[in-house]
Amino acid sequence: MAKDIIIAFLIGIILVLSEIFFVHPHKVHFAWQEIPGFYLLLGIVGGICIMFFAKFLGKVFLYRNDNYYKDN
Amino acid sequence: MPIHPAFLYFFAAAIIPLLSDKARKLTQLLLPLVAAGLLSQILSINPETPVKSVITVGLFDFTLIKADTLAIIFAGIFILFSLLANLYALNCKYKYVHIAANIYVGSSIGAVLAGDLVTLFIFWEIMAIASACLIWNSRRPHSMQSLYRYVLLHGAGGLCFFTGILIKLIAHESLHFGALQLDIAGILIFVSFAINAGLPPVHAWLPDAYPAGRAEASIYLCTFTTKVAVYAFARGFSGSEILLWLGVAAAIYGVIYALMENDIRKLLSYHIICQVGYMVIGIGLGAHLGVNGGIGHAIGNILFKGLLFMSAGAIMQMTSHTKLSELGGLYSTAKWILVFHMLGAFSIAGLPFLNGYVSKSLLVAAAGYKHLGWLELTLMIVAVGTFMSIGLKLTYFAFFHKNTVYKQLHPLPWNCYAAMALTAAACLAIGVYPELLYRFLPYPVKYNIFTIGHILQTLQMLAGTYFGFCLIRKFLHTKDAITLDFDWFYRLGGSIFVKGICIPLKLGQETIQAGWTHLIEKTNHTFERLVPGQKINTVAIPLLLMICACLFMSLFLILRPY
Repeated sequence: MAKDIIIAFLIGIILVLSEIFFVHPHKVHFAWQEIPGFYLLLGIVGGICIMFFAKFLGKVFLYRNDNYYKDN
Repeated sequence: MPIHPAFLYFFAAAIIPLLSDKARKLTQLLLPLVAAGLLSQILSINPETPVKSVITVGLFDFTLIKADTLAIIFAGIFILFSLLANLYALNCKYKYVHIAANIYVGSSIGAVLAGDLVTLFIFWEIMAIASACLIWNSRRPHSMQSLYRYVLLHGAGGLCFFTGILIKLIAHESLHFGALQLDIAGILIFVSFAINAGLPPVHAWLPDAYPAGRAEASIYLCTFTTKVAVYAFARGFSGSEILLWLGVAAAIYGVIYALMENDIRKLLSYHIICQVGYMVIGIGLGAHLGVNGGIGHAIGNILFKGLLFMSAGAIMQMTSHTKLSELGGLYSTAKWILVFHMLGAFSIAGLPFLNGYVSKSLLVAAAGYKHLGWLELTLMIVAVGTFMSIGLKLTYFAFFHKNTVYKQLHPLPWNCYAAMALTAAACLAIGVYPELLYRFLPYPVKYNIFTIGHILQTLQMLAGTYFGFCLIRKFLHTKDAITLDFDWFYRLGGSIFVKGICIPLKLGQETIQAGWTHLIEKTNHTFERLVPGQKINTVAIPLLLMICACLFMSLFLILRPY
């Protein structure tokens, strides 16, 4: 479990470092494309948020028993 | 006049009942090859004029073949995918699946080649009927109810389409299928396209019906209906802003529902809605890059979504389970399926050098050129959610989570592996050499997707998602539950309507009728006493009363003072 987290973290670090070293400043459409590691952060935060949002929505509002339609 | 490929498929469907098993298998494999030959023949006759085949019935000219770039790319990918799906379904012993599938594929090809709205409508309806047959599954009794709901929605869509055509006909407008206006007829046709494309809020038939059928049937179903609708949007409503908004809604809606879902085929069905959202966003953006991205994504999606449905079907055939809560530990017993599933999952998430990246990059670039920053971020977050649900959640719970002990693990026939391998190879080929796809797109592609910056950004995004998943993995559990969706309105909302309004109305009507019968019997009784031997039947008196009432009414109307 912890091994996976460390591997994922290292991959992320390597990717951000290679972005800093190999990607030369180029014409970007949006300001955030210039921040090194922005997309890594987007993946982490966006992924966790969207997962918990979906689960939350399901728990409070949308999940029903398997036989919901048969019983009603 | 060239032979229409659709009629070849219809002919095959007609002769399949007569064929032996071996001959049927041979036909299924040779048919797409012959159809591809016919398609290239259509292309080669005269490249100047796209209209190739017109049949006049009565006063109306049916343009059966109008082979421009847009039609050809869709017809081509349909034929290619029918080969892969036929290969997967080769050993399916239910002949109805093969017959319905051939009619379904044929009518889809007919729909994309059609040059006018009436021809499109006819193929559109044949498609709806054939796909409904594929939903039926004798092993799952509830598939029949899904089928009814499917027919209900598609019947409504067909009626909208037909009304739109009639309004155009009355207004003496051209029925040529080109760019359409959003007037009354246009809106009706738009609604019917939206139903077939599975755009919210008229999407609920899709996750309801697609997981109901047999494993082989789902592979055909996941491809044709929605992509024909995307084609129709691209031809009829390219660049209309409402498509952009509907596409954004579909992409977000699909990905969030997919994250909640427990049944693997249902999860993948929600991802069809999500990916159709991407395509529709591209078409709504409208510029060359956007339309190319939308169409390219439709073509790519047919391959990787087909691959994902094939691997889901393989899991279902091997274990007889489709729920994540009942699956687990398949990585040791089904290594190849894991490999093919991961290739599909990475493709749909947009990993560089697989085909999802090729088309998604065009869409993201199209959003960039229009300076729609929010759209770029939305596309990215949806891609993160896609990787989270298919690449990580599904993979983890089906292949790596607890070691489920299966009662019996059925072996998978060789043809299923071959079909998955070929589909995966196609995904990889387009991903490595995008020119394979780009040369067929409606507009030339000048955008370079393989810049180091873009590749690193995408890799970072996927690595970030993986890191996030590792962090929250121990909090995640599968839940054996269903999620409410818009079908609630016609499943339970409908029954509330029946219980609340129809049943009281029926009771009221019965009470009135009983009172009426009683009254007539009483009158009859009195009448019999007055005139013995004479009997008036129960119909005569109300009829007499009605005639009298009508007479009085007309007399009153004629004689009333002005």
